[in-house]
Amino acid sequence: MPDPVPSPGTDGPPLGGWPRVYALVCVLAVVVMLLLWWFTAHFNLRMEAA
Amino acid sequence: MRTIDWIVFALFLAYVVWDGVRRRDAADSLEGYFAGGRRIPWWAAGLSIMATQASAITIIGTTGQGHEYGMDFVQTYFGLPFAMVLLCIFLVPLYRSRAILTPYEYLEGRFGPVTRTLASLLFLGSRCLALGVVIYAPSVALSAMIGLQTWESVVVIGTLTTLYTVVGGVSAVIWTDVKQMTVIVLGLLLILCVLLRDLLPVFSFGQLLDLAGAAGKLNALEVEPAHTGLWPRLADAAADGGTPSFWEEKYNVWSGLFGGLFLHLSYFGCDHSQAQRLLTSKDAQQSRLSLLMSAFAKVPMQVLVLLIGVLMWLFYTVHGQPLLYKTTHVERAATAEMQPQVAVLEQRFAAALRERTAQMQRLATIADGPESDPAALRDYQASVRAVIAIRREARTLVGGQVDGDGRPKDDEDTNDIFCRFVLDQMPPVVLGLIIAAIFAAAMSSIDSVLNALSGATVVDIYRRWLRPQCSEAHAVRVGKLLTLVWGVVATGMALFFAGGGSVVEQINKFGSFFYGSLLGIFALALFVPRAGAVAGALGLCGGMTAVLAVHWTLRVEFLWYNVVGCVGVLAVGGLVALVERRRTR
Repeated sequence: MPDPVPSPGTDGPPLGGWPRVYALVCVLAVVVMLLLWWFTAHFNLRMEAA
Repeated sequence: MRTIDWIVFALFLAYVVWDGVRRRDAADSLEGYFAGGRRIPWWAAGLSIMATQASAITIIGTTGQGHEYGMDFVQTYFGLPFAMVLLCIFLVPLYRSRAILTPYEYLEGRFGPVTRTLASLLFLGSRCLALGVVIYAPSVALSAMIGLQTWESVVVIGTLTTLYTVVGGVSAVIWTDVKQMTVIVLGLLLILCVLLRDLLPVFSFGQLLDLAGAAGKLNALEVEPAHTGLWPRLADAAADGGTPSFWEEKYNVWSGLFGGLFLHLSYFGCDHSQAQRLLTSKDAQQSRLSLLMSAFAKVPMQVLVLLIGVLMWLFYTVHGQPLLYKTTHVERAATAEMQPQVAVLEQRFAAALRERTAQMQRLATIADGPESDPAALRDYQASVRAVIAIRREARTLVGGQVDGDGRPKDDEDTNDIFCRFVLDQMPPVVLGLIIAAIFAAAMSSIDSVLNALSGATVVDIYRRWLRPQCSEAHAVRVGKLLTLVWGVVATGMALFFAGGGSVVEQINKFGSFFYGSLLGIFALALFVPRAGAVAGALGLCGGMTAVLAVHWTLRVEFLWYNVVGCVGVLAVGGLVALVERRRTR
């Protein structure tokens, strides 16, 4: 079976333009970091040195 | 391993080799062999990018890292999404504006043949060094799991991967990567399910997080660095003690964001084993999409892998932990020479485990969380530290490793924890699938690097310097032969590699020596228009010299080497460009 080739539907940039895609990536990256920051602050306790 | 596991594992290996070999028809031209005929869909290239980076290291090393040190390693990836966006903006249009087969071809047009060759040699050197480790890691796992010698595992992995990569070229690499990535994700999810199945009847998910967090394992984002001094210590002075500087903390959000940004810019944009994917799609749009797949998926995937490591630690905390994970340690501990000392350690360890279990149960019953009872928290952390200390003592005793002064040193077993867990705890079929996933992870990284090494050698060295007039068919034949040669070299390097410590760190350390300079030369091309051939070549040498100087003289963690290398190239290259400009006036 031949491998799929790119379909014509993927020709245009998603979300109507690359700047929007880049902005989405950056915003999501910051959101994930904020979530991990909250996660760490909420659950993690630094181990005191012996 | 049971028969059914062997069957699952063997079927997977056979399928991957067949799937790679059947791509041979697409590998009859240079563009077909090294760029997939520019017909690879973005999602396949994107999965291949992720599979190449994943490696067996992601499964073995990172879960071990999570078990031993918690989740702080995820911070290394914080710069990745931003790096991908910058690459989409600056490098993808550059690469796709001409029909190049390696990123270093672009450098010739900008700086001349010397800089192109130097950059290509940097890539060849760094990747060749790291490839030995990439084969070695899963080989150790395999030898521990199914009773083969490490060298036998190295030969099996090296031979099978080289076989389908030689025949099928980059198309074989990418399409096998797609299947391998699927198996990797499936394997990880299965392990997660098994862990939760065993842990949730004992503690609720919230209690598990409290217990792991109280042991400092949920350190996914550390804003406050442990050391705040900004002046790096001299290497000699640091040996005598003193307070470490900010630059010596391996993982925090700052090293991850800035050091990680430079590392990933260079790795995905300038390392041919990854940048090659950007050249295999139809156009720049598709190349961008393949890069952005990692931008979305990589950090969550790393969180999942590290969380599995933390859950493995909780599993051993709840159900009892072995004193030693490494097979060679266990064998040495059983010898008559070691037995008396090991027996004493085992007694102390059993007592320490009982104490940790008691403190864990005490902590889990505190309704308002561990912080509400400082005494219970202090006792729990002390019990966790006691277990860590005895394990370290045992590893030092049976490991047989010595430091530079001849004193016994810790022989870490970070890379053996995952293997021990899988071997002891996984049900039939799942074990076979997970071993297949480890192999998949190893092969998906090795095949990419083999094809990229061959591509850079043929395109940047052989065709550029040795046989510029050779025919396309001849170049493809040489490409296949060189893939075979690199496969043999990589397998040989793995046979001589004796790794200690965390494999995942070793790979990043190797890369960090070279990556900053590689990135710097592309940055010089983009942002210093007046920089010419001399500035390019001297800048590249300057960047490497700066990294080596920092490594030898200062105590600075490896992620920062990427920044040093890049800034070194820009500073030296920029300065030379300025001098050249004044001369020509």
